Amino acid sequence: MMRYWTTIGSRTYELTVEGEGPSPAVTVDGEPCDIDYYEVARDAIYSLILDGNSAELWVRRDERGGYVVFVAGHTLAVSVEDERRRRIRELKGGAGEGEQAAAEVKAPMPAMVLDVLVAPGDEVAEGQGLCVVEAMKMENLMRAPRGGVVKEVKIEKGRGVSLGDVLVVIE
Amino acid sequence: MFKKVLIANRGEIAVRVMRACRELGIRSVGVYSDADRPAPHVRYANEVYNVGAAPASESYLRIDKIVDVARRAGAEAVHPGYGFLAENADFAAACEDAALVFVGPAPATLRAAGDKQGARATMAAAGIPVIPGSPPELREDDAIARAAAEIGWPVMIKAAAGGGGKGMRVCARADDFAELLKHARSEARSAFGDDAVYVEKCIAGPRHVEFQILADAHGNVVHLHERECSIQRRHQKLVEESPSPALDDELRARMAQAALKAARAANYTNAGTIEFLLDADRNFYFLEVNARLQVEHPVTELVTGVDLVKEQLRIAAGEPLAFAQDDVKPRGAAIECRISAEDPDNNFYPATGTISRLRLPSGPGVRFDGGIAQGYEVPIYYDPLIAKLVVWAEDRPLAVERMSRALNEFVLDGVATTIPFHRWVMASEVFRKGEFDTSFVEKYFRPEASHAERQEKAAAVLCTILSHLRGAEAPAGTDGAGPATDAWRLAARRESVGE
Repeated sequence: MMRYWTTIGSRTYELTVEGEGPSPAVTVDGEPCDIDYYEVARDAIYSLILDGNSAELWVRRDERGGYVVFVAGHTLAVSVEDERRRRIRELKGGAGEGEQAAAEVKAPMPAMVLDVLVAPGDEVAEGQGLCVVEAMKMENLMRAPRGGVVKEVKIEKGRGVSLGDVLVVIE
Repeated sequence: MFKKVLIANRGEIAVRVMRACRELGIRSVGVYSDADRPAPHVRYANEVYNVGAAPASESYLRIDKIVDVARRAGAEAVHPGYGFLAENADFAAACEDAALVFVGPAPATLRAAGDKQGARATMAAAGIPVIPGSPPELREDDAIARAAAEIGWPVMIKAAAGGGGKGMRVCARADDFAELLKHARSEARSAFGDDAVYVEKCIAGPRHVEFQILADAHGNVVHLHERECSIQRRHQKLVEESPSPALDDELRARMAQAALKAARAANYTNAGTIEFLLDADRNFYFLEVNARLQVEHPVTELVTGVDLVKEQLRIAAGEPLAFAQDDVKPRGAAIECRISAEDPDNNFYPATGTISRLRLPSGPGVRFDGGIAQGYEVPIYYDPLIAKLVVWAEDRPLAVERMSRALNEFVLDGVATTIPFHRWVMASEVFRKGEFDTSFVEKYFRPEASHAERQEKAAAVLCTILSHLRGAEAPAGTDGAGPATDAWRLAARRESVGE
């Protein structure tokens, strides 16, 4: 029997799984479940009957080894931890806490920088405008995701930026 | 009827027009840019020609190239769709000069409709209520600012050559005016090549209600009732429906009469839309004439049973309307959700990517108009609207339930879209009651994680089983193991060095 901690959003389910067939013995948060799953399309589409409730799930792996699941219109990011992985994370836990990482404001799309509203060293409040970019003929004010001090301004007025380019770094 | 028609557009609307052509036995001629070789509309066309580089200004907006293709292909008419050259009077005139029928109003009508302030004056003269605003001769910043103060705050700054919300700004007080004017001008310049702007009184709590018009070349004008388009974000429509929950029969009849009067005053032919703003006290004001087929035309088609694109082609071919006003009998309710490649969790920023998986909703009363396919990469060059999901049902509450059901069937992976936003709208109590105005999205929409206990549990169970099986395939600790172990080890190593 293996134990798992499976997280969707802020909710973590504790599961145990035993056996490898289409109907493994599964408990969720200590409660045994009646399970029947069927792979409709390899590594992609599954039919799951969970305690008589039918669900069709479209699944793919994400880049970090988790899963992205489409089910009845919901898109869910699912991460699964087994006991070893959980222990490693717990041992490491706490080391990074308390430190607030620098926040990078990135270009949400390829765009043109129309205006830069801050300079390095400026103190900014959450929601304060940092720069104005234009794409698809719309001007967009890029706001600070949190308060802090502007560490770096990586853009210039009148220059183009690509998707994902760092515009401003806030510390 | 024509034998061959060129469709001067791309994406879902090109496919929509080609479908009508196919049903009418007309050969469709498509055009595409370098970026659109993989696009579904290219595959749907009977004939198709490249008209230039990816940016629209070098392809879909090139009047010379498109007219040249139409002539060489032997097309008799050109359907412009919406956007791009649809309301461009020079394009309509260039088609006429090349002996091609432009499927839309005459160049002079397009010119008059495109001049928003001129159109307002025409409508006011015809006795149709208009929103108080600054006169067209005011060009200087200071003069416009004074006019704005006279009208009274808040005011709306609008691009004179505008449309689609571009170059539009709301200004609540005199102090902000200069700054907002500058932004509106610069946006107007980049969108329309003209930075002329004007101001209008801002109507409080407005709803956007528009009437569909069909007018033939023989003087027959009918309306096909209204569409409610108040679910907007930054003046871009997101959800449209017919009938409008804001109108009763008396108000509907008065607005319809105004719309017919407006169409006649504009000397309109072909399909067009008269847009109105409706204020909280149920006063309505003429907003503008949309001299084209609208994005949201399917809701009208579903409630009236009239195929607007076929009617456009018939009118362009010189046929009289085959039905009169009394024959137009709307039935039930229709709702359209615009599916755009925009991320509602990230301020609706345009998203790009490849549609890796696609399952379209279907079943009773569901219509899908799209220009997408599995494996299709959404290009960055064009409007993010990629598809429209439209439903019809016997009444509005049933249509809302049907739309929710259809959205739940929709699987589109690889690109962020507005689908989750629409699910939220359909679940919203305010939307369901029909008591909303154009501030609905701004006022109520907050991106939030979906809560669906049963679906979440199913996903958790399935993913855990999949992980469990992967672990069993490649037990930890064995060398030459499968990808799961490699990923596991890599992760463990990374974590142990504190990366």
